[in-house]
Amino acid sequence: MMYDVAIVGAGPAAVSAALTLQVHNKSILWFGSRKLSPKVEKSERIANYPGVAMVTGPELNRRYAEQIAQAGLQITERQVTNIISSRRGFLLQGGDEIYDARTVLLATGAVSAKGFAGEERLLGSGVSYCATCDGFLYKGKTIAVFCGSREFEHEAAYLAELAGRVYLFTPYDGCGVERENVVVNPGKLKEITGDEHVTGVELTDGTSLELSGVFVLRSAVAPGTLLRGLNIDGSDIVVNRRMETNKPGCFAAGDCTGRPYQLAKAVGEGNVAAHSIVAYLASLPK
Amino acid sequence: MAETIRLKSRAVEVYDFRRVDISRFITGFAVDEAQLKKDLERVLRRYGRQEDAAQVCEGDTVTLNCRSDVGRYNKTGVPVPVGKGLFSPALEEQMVGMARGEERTLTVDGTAVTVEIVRIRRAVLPELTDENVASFGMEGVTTADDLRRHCIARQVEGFLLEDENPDMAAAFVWQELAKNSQVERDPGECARVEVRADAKLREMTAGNSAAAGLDLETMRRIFVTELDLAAVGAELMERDGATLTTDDYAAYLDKLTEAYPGRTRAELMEEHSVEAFVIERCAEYTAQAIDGYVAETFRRALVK
Amino acid sequence: MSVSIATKETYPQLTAEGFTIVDFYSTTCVPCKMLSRVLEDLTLDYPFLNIVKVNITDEPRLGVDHEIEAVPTVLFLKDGVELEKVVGLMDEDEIVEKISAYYYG
Repeated sequence: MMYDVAIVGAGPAAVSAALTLQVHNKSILWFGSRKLSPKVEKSERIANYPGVAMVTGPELNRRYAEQIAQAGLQITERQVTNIISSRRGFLLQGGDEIYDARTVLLATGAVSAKGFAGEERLLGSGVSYCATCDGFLYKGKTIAVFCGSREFEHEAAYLAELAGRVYLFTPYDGCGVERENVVVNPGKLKEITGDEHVTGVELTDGTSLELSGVFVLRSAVAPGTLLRGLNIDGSDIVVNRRMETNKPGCFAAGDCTGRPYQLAKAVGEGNVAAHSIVAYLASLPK
Repeated sequence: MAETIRLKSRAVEVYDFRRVDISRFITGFAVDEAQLKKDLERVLRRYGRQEDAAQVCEGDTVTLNCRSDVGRYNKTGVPVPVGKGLFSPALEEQMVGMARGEERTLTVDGTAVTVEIVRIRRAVLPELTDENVASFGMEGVTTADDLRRHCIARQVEGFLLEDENPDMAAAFVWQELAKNSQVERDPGECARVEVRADAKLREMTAGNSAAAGLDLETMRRIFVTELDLAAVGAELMERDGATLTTDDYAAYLDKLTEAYPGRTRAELMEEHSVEAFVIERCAEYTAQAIDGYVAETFRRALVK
Repeated sequence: MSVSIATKETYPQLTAEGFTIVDFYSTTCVPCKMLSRVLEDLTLDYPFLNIVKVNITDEPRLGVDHEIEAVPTVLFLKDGVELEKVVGLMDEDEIVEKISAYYYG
């Protein structure tokens, strides 16, 4: 099914956009966490949002959730890992499925993921983000896996079944992956090394490990990696006043477009983006 | 000389798994109309006529000669789809209206390009009628409905591969088959099953603490079911005239050695014994037969 | 126009002549399916395109021969000669740009 718009993210910018798009009867495919924005949830008090005096973060999220439900909107809890633009619209990968949408709104929030040194350079030459795509290429070989959160442990286990030896790095304690060919946290991962291809990794204590591939499994996908050719400035998605990015049909709103990281800005941008999307859809040939 | 290897357990009574009703699993598939339209169009184009036209219109494919100072525009007999902007948006725009055989000097980015129209081909898409479809000569496809079904079949194949309902249906048939068949289990093979169940459970719980929900009893039951279905498989193989030989086992070991270059053949043979190989292969035979039945049933229900 | 699936036996003859786009993918790779869809849709607009698909799970030898380190990987060939190798996803405009450059280049 071809949707009018795919929204990536469930923070205030996304909520604002979704509500407006719903009013304009657009078919919406909304990816995000049903728990909405963790950033809002962690806010103690929001003092400067007009019309809502001294609300707490959790209270605000609760009201968003209620409003979303009343509007009949649904959030699909799948992580979007890839987006390609085609002349007919966009293809998005959510989990293991492919979705079609005419437009995309990126409301992914401020990027917290910082790649490892060498990660971007060696992407595709030994560095991979996709276990099911490239795992079997390392059958019997030695690899490193960075597992960013527990939700990726099953992918790490999958890789451990294929690979000969796995050095598994996690930023948290109590990793549930235990196999005889897996070494958990031999140190802290600092850099991925190699000239044309991955040859190993360097740890913060100075030791190096020789290996042929590195899988990086993390939930925050930087917008530039998510959608190739997207114009980024530092870590901000570049948009004009209509919230248009450099890719026709792709819009962005909220913290992901840059500072100030404020609720009122996010909500405003979400609204503007929604109107731009409506106008863009109207301009498309039938 | 290759020797036949046989499973020792025997199926005394084989339930006809084709009797199992899996209609409740046939759900979740919806025809992607947009994809269908594209696939139909592709077929119409392939079997459609290409006719020569006298004047260039957008959408035509023009064969042209061009001369210019710029290398890219110095070509002979090059095909250009007009209006797609693949060759040169500016040039293509200016070509519209030119006649076959005509030569004209056009301008692209300030450069003069002399273009000669050699041939103009236009695709005539036939209408989707029974008569036209019959003329395509596609095997098994003689009406417009046939063609529609042919394209939907392609989508159903994708669904069978990707969706979990066919897998769930197969698992259900597997269980029913095991429940209703009678197997005389060989004690040696049973003992092996116990060992494997133990080992697998240890491996699984060691790898993922969440799997600790599985207990040894359940694990044993899964492996005993596998043994029973291997016995069924052995019976099915015999009916089909298929056999397992020592050559098959050797080929299996070859593949393992290739996949695990760090291990010796002797090590792998110990880990993957010929007895375990026989059970695995016979059970796989059953699984494939079940998969075939499931796929057939889904196709019959969904391709219409 | 054609989209064909190559085996190690048929690969040489499928890619010997003319302009070919080779699409390397693996059975479980979802991004590969996205790219394959975009490539196939392009054959509607550009009927002279020749697309050869290689599943390196089924044909590991071809993966090794072409030094495929990650999927999807796309090769642009002219008369069997490799003009460019692109690892990872591309959007439609990028692909069309390369076709435009290599087919008429």
